Amino acid sequence: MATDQSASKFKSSDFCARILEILDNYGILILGAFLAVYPFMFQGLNDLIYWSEDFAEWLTPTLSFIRGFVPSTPLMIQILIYSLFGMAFNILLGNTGMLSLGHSAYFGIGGYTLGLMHAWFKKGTPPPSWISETFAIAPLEISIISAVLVSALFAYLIGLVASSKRGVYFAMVTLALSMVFYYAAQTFDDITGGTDGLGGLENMRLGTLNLRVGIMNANVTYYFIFIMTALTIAIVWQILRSPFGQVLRAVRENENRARNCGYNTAKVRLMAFTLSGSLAGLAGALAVIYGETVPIENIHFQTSGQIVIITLFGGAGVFLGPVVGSFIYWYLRQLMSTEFVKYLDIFQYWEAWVGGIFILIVLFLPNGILGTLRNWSVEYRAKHYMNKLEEAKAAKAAESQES
Amino acid sequence: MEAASGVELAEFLQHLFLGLVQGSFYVLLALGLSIIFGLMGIINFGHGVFYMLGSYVGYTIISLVVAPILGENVAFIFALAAVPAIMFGIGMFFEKIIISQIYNTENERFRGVLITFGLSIFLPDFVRIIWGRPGKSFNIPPMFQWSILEIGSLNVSAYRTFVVFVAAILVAMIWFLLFRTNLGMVIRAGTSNNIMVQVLGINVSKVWRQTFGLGIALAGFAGVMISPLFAVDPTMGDDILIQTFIVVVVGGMGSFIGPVIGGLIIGQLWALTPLIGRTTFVINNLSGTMIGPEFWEKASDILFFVLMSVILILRPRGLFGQEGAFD
Repeated sequence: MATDQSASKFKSSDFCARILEILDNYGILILGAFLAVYPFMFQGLNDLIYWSEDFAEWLTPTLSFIRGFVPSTPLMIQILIYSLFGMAFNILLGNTGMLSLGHSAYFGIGGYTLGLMHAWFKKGTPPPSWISETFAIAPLEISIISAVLVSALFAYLIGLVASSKRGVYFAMVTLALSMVFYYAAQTFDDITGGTDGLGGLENMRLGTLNLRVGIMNANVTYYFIFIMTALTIAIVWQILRSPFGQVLRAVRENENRARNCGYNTAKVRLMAFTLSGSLAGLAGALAVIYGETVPIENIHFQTSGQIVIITLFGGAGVFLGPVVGSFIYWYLRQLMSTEFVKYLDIFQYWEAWVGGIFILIVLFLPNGILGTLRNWSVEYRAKHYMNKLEEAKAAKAAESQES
Repeated sequence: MEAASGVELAEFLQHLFLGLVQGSFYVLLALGLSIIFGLMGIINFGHGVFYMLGSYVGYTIISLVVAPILGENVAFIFALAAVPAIMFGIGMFFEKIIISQIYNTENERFRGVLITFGLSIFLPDFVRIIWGRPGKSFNIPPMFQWSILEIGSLNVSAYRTFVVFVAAILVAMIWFLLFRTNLGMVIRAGTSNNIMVQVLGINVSKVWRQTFGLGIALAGFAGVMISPLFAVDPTMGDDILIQTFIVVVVGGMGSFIGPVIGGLIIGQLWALTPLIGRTTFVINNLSGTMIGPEFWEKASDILFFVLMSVILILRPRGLFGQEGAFD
């Protein structure tokens, strides 16, 4: 009798431990699968609401209320873009231990490169025909690749100067250098559109598949950005798991020791910086594709600050931290400024909330939300299996006593 | 320098004067930032928003409380005394409740940066909640609405002169505090070697609290002083924060003379750069190029950052900073 009871008591914590294990090991895949079908789910919800308007009117208000709390497909696109930006940023912060406060520079440079290539080919002096013909075949591919290359170049150049600095000093240098780009963009406004940003970038064409992407084609754009983000994150995952990734973490832990082990830490830091910058440029390019303009804010310090907040919300020490952080940030922001504000006007000031939550996280959850959850999960499972071990030992002892 | 050639003397002197006024604000802000960094090792990203808060507190005191009773002039003078006192208290409050939580933890300096950065996101919206979204307008107090000197383009207004004068007095007071009082001695000792000060048995946490309060009080004071001249709105702290960083980096973190000299230099740089575009040299030789006259009109921001980057790369401690301040 007693053993029956204890068997069923064990089952629930056993179950929990199993679930947590699955999440920990396969979480990325589960998340990827969820995101892959998300537009259909959201579309399904919308369709349900339309159906209910015709056939079950009593259901409509409830469903609409629920929809207010579900992120829309465009919001998910925004989340994905900033997840990518965050992953790029976290190569530097979480893995190499370098806090860059000027990452908006590469985000903006990637965006401006993409935008300027399209703007150049539309107005003003026509380029030589072989260029414009090649471009016309696959405009989006070419401009994305250029965006990545150009931002990699600038990341390399700035890295040459900045990556040898450390700590808060490094943060200040990156901040200063990124603001040079902002004011350059503001000053040379006949090229960049200045504070108005670069417009006229609607409906870009993906040459190889002959698709149009932009705000108007939300689902297509979603899948395009989702696939780009997923592929890039997979690449980042591989890089961080590789020996190179190990060296990055070694440099983060104790640079002197890494150098004594024979690694050229200066070169490693420069490579990490360049890689991080180029992927940030990719994210910036995707942001421009989705947003159809290049706002000058993309290259301003406030965007750098945003990505720091996003990364730390989720946790810099966890691989998927920036993804979770991006979701939390944009979801809360949308929730407060669109939904909660209907009930309490004070929620239009969502930045106060974000700032406050950020301070609380820095103080009390330094590992971020995902990081803390991860730690709890590991602790729980460890305790659970220790208990099981104790039980097994006790059972064995009881058995041998009986026999 | 070719600055005077295509430009009238009066215009040049006017810009020189405006540079001095702007420099005075930079000095006040940079001193606060530098003292906080020197002693506590924290780069206060919230300096800009406390500057803004001081402005708003001053506005409230002046328009809502005192002016109806005692008139604008007295209200203004009263605010000049009351705002720093209030901001001193607010600064100490923040230090005690939030910032002191991270002392002696790992990544202390990073977390200090991040927390003050979080404050810089939180406070503007908080100010909007209390005072509303649109900015507040402020008049120059009637007793200062005249000009000391007016020759052509040169207009030395009374209020701006007052600003320079008050800033100078404040700098002198800070100097006195730092170099002639016991508290100042402790601050200087702590800046130089914090651990030793604790070993000697001095209550460091109290000194840190007061130092942070002092820095915030200076920022708030600058905020009140600048309100009659420029717009008062929740975003006024953003640009000024970054400019203050430039001043402190150029002048030297953790020193006294560094922010003073740095502030004056940057102030002049801010004021005189537009004039470069109007010199005959630029107009004759560089028109139509990327660095022609139109560039120089707006170039001061870029130049600030180029200067800051150059200093960070070549002489990281700044002109007058301590060696190794950034380790």
